[in-house]
Amino acid sequence: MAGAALLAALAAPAVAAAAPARATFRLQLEGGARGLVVGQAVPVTIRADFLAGTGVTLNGAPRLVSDGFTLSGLSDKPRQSDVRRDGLPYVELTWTGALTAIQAGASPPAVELPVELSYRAPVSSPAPASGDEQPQNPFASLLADTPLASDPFFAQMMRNDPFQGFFQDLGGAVRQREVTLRDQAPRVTVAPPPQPAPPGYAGAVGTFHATSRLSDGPFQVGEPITLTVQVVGRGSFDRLATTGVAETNALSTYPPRATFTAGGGATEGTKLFTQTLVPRRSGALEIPAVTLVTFDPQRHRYVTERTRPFSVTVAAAPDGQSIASQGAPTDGVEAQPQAARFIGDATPRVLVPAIRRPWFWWTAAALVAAASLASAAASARARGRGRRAFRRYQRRLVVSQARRRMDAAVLAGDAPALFGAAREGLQACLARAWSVPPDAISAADVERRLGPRGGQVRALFEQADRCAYGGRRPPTDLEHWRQVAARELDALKEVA
Amino acid sequence: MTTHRIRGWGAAGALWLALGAAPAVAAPPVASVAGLVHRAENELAAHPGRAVADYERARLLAPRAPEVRAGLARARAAAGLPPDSPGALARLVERLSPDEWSRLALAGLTLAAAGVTAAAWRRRRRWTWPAAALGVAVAVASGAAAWRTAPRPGDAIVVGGQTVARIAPFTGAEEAFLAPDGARVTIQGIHQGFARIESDRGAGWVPSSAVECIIPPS
Repeated sequence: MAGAALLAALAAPAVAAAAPARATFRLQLEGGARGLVVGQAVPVTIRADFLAGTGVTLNGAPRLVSDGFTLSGLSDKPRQSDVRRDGLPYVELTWTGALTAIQAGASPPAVELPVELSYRAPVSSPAPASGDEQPQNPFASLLADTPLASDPFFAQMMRNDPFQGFFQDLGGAVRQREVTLRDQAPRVTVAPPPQPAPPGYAGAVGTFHATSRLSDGPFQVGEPITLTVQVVGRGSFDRLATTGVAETNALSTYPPRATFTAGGGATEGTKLFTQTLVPRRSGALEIPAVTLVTFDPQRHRYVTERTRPFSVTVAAAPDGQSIASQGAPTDGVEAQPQAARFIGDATPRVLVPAIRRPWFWWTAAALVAAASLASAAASARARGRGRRAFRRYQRRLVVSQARRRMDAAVLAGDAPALFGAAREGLQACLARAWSVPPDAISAADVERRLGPRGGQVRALFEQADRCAYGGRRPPTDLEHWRQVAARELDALKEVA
Repeated sequence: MTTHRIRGWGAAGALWLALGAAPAVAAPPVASVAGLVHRAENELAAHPGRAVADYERARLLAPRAPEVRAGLARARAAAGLPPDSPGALARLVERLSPDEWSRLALAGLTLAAAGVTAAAWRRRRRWTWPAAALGVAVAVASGAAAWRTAPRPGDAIVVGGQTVARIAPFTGAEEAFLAPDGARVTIQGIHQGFARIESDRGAGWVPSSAVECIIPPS
């Protein structure tokens, strides 16, 4: 596996050739370089080694710089250990994760790690003196005149300055550099899985084994049953998916919910699919097997895992309702159960009840307003009809009163009263027929409108005028005139 | 706030909105029965109060569905609430959804309006007034049922577990009562992250996040 040494970037040019590497960075795929299939996940190890004494600040986690792969499951904190490399102590940081190929023909994956390094650059020492000359010791001259100068031990010690290295290190400049460590895995090829893929294949590559179990019974119509499918294995669990048990007329189903628990390795683990099933009718119920389609890279073929089916007995609901029984098969065509229409209905509907929405009240107000308007119109029409009926009543009253007054006048021998009453009655009848005021009708009007047919009426009008204004002696045969007047009133009543 | 087109009004409605003649209308909250039941089942173990809220919403849409009724009972039991035991009248009223009662009320009102109109115009006198009386009765009864079954905008469910209701809207205030998870309460107001609720145990302030309206605000 490739390793990237950062010596040249970090060391001073004068000492580059001799200085050890301060940092190395490596990306290692489990099993080494090889061919992958799209969707296949392989464990990866990322190692960064730093020379002991080098201050290191990580500016982030390792990141993938290839579009054809994804890096997942990377540990948040690297594992730290001390190692020796070329006889030098190093601090090693290790991350593990899973690298998943997502694109056929992608270039080999590469990772980067942004770090900030701080280290002390060594100063260049002066060249040693030639011949027997001792190197210049700054402390020797200072101590030469002291009593300790004659002490052989102290003199031996001073010959080589014990603080020489200390001051030399202190003299080196502390350097800080932000660098990005990078490494690329060579010779990794990505190929697509064989085509055509079988139905239900969601891209999971690896070796998996599925088992299933049901929640504890007893089972009842309307009570949810939990079906759990457990998949263990090694591979790209992210792409492992199933649609679960399909909905039938006997069973309402809901989309399965998946949870993943990582195992020992980066690509190992357990994935649980939990699906809620609700029986719609009582009796024997068959819960079919759940299928999972994956691709096995070792055998290089698709694998279909099937869980075992279940046969359960479902009791009726407490109220005896069997949902599916409402939609019993008729004429060979199975009708849609009534309640299933609600439960299976995934169509979004407005939650706000109609009575809390404006359109309901607008509609109710419109209905009330329409009824009120129609009633008002009918009432107005009825009022016009009433007025006409009242006028008709008034006329009948006038005619009947006229008849009574004529009878009384005949008995009393009062001719003016007889003819006056007869004229009033006739005027009332003619007024309705001609739509004119009764008082406005005269003998001339009767002659003009009725002609010869109104001769008797005109004679009664003329007699009434003579009695009222003429001063002439009235006729004596009052009974005859009363009968004439009564006959004409009957005739005009029919006309009116 | 989002606006939606006025259904059925087509270009005229769009023009009306574009001209600013109509106020911006918030899209009403929508949900499906299947989605609500699925979410409630997923929340049942960890958040039974939320499951109760989702089942209450599902009951608005599908009151006769056995799954919803059974699920609501299980959610209430998981939340530690006593089983709901409505009376005969309440059971009858809850057979239909608020929407169905509302439509029935409108149908009754339509019948009453037609009957009154026909009576006023003296058409088919034998049936007009009985029809109008029947329509009024249906409209009033259905409207009352719809009003009773439809949650008010402030009707909410306690979803934050056993929640302490305090006498004032701040954390250090004295405790008023304990609002059980999944209990139905009425939100009377919101103040600085606290909601004033009223329940059969009294009135008090709880964190706004501890209650969830049955009908989510638009």
